[in-house]
Amino acid sequence: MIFFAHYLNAEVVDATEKTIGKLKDMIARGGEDYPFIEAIVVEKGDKQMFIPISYAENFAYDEITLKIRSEKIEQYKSSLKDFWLYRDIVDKQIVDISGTRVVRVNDIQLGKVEDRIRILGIDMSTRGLLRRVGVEKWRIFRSLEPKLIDWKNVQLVNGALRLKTVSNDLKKLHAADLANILEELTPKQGISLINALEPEKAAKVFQELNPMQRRLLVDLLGEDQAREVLDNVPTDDLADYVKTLNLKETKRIFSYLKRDKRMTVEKFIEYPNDTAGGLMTSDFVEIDPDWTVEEATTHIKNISNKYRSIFFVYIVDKAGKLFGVISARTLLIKDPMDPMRKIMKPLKKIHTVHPATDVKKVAEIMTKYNLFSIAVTDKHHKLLGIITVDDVMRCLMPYS
Amino acid sequence: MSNALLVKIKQKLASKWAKLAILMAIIGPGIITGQVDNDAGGIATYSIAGARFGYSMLWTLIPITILLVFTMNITTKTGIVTRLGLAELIREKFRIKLTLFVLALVLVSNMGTTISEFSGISSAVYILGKQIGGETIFWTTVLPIIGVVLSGILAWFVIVKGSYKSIEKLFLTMALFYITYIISAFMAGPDWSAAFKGLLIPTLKFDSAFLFTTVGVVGTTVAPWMYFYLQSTAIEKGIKKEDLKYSQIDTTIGGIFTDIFSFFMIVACAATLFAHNIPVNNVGDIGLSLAPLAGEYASYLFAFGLLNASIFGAFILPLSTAYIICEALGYELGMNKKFGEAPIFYGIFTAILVIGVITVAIPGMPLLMIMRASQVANGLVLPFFLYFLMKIAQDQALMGEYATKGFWRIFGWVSVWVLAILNVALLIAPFFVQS
Repeated sequence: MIFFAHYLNAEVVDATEKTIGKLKDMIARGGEDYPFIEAIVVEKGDKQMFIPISYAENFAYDEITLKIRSEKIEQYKSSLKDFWLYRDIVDKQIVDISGTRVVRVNDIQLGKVEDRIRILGIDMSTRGLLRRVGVEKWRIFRSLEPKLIDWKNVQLVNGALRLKTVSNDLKKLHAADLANILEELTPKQGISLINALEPEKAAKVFQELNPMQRRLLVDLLGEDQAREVLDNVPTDDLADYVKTLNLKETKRIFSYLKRDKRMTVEKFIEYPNDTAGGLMTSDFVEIDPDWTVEEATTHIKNISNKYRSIFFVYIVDKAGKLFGVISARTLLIKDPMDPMRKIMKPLKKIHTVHPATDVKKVAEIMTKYNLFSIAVTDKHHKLLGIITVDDVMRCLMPYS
Repeated sequence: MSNALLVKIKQKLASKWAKLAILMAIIGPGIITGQVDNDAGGIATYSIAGARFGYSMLWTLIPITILLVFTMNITTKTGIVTRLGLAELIREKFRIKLTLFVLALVLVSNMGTTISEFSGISSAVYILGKQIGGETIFWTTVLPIIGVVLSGILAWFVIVKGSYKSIEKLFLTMALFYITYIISAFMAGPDWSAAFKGLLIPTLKFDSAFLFTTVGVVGTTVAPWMYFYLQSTAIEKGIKKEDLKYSQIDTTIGGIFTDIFSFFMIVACAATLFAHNIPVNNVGDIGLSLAPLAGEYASYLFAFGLLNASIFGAFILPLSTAYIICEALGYELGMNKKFGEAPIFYGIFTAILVIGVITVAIPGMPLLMIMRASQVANGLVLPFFLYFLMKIAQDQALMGEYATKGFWRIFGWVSVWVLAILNVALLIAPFFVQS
């Protein structure tokens, strides 16, 4: 296996054996699975030269010989797509997508593939460190193995430029994994990562962060992006978040929210955390009692991307009073022309709780009757929100 | 103002604990770091300075405090702005070879300091034991060893099993016990007017022993490891840029209180040992000599304060070393991780703790020589380290608008050079001065 560290500070000589300088860096162009080295950066004193790698005749560890005389070298012209191996990657942090974590690069693995020298992966092992210091070959270190990460699973995060090309594999990671990665990055890198995500995904990542990190993130995002992300966060999560803020921050967050969302959040804040009101979400599907199954399913299809999950739909009249509930399964199997009134489970047959009900009591009811979700209503049976089983679990086992 | 905001205000006012929580959310790293600075080595240096030179060395505390607060401030600022640990920043900016060089020095110096913490625990238990039980093998030899081993086990369990929050609370509580030094000082009945004269009017004696002790006082107060620790904990706490000023209050209070305690330590020893011209060589001597002069309780308080400070240091030094190494080399780290998730982090921590305990617990180890060597390593690493710190703090690309500039930049560099010269003096002094 060959590594970048082998070449760092190697002597570069031209066709007449005249020393040009020492290799200080390599330039690669991004965009490919395994990017190839375009040029080497050679330094002698203050003078820096970008020599296209095509001039290299032999590429030995201690000496690189060019097949041309130094006067005739046409220097490589760097483009914006380029990155430098030593300047941008070595000793810096990268994201290991398959391992869903952030690691520090000790060395870069190179290899000749399809006749060009390409970057194959990064080495993050102790052995890589030893190689950098030049003691890799010592007998006591023999048993240490290089730990390599394939370049396909690497996301560069240094510099704004690199994050413009965020790999789709990274974007596809689970929000919880992305949140873990975000915690490890510097503010600049973290913001670029969030910007590369769809607002819906960014909002999900936001929900996975702990209160301290949420504050940091919103602070760093700036107004426009914060608006966009927060708009996609469900109201109950938003209310939980606002509860951790001081007055000044609360005011600022409120100014970011659309009017009706803000009013719902305000209502949610008034309920203590350990009650049904503090736990409930306003993200539930409401359906008119006079609609048919067909109308209801069409409605669900149109709005479904806004919701985390839809297990039940709630039948609510114009004034917001709860009439009944229907499971998604019932909607699937019933006749398309059946009206909601006829097939729903009516209010008097379902269990509801009040906003002031204690969380433990809610958990008790849900366990006793094997409920997936439960409706929260006021004393006039107005539907305020619903509690799903995952909310209860999060409350009973926070941040685990 | 909206309804919800009013509700929020009411909730906030109703709950005094919530207010305290906001304050405590930011306060912590600076105060803890400042207090650990007065560890076993610190207590020894300050006490001996007071015992040998009376009040005449107090004035050095003022420039030391300014320097301490300044360096602590730029450290937390760098951490909060970059959200990278000091060791990581050194790695990114100065690369692997220099990083390993700094790490090796830090490891040696922290190892030595940890040993001196455990020897502080041993001395404290010795003073207490001798006062309570008299001159028997059990009270003066066996009990100190038991104390050292138990403290080591305690430190291991607290750090490995605890979370950052619980550990910080414990540390803040321990910081309160430094008050024993203030009580000790008052019990010693010092001449306050002479003490304040000593604090405000600089005395310079061109006597080599005096200069040597001055360098020692500076060296013990500005120790490199504490900056790594401070920066890492500021990051782990998630302090925002907006809250930077609160964080600076924390470090400023931490720095000032550190030196207030140092002041009282020097005063206590000046009023007793210096006034009666009693020669002392180590903290054990000091603790025992206090009893006939300032009363039995002064001696107990001294020993108790030393015990507290040494245990405190024995907790933080191995932890700080593990942080520094893992951060720079990219191993998993953090007090919130479990042993299996960060084996190297906890491994380093455990190894240093075990070596510290064993070195002190085995009778006949050359403790004095080891502590001396660690001071030398500390002296060596300090100028390098401050150079790195200033370079990072003034880096526009890293720090943006928060880069250190103007007066403070000049102040910083002057301090770097003054300290470098002082430390070189500390290193070469033993060859010229009989101390």
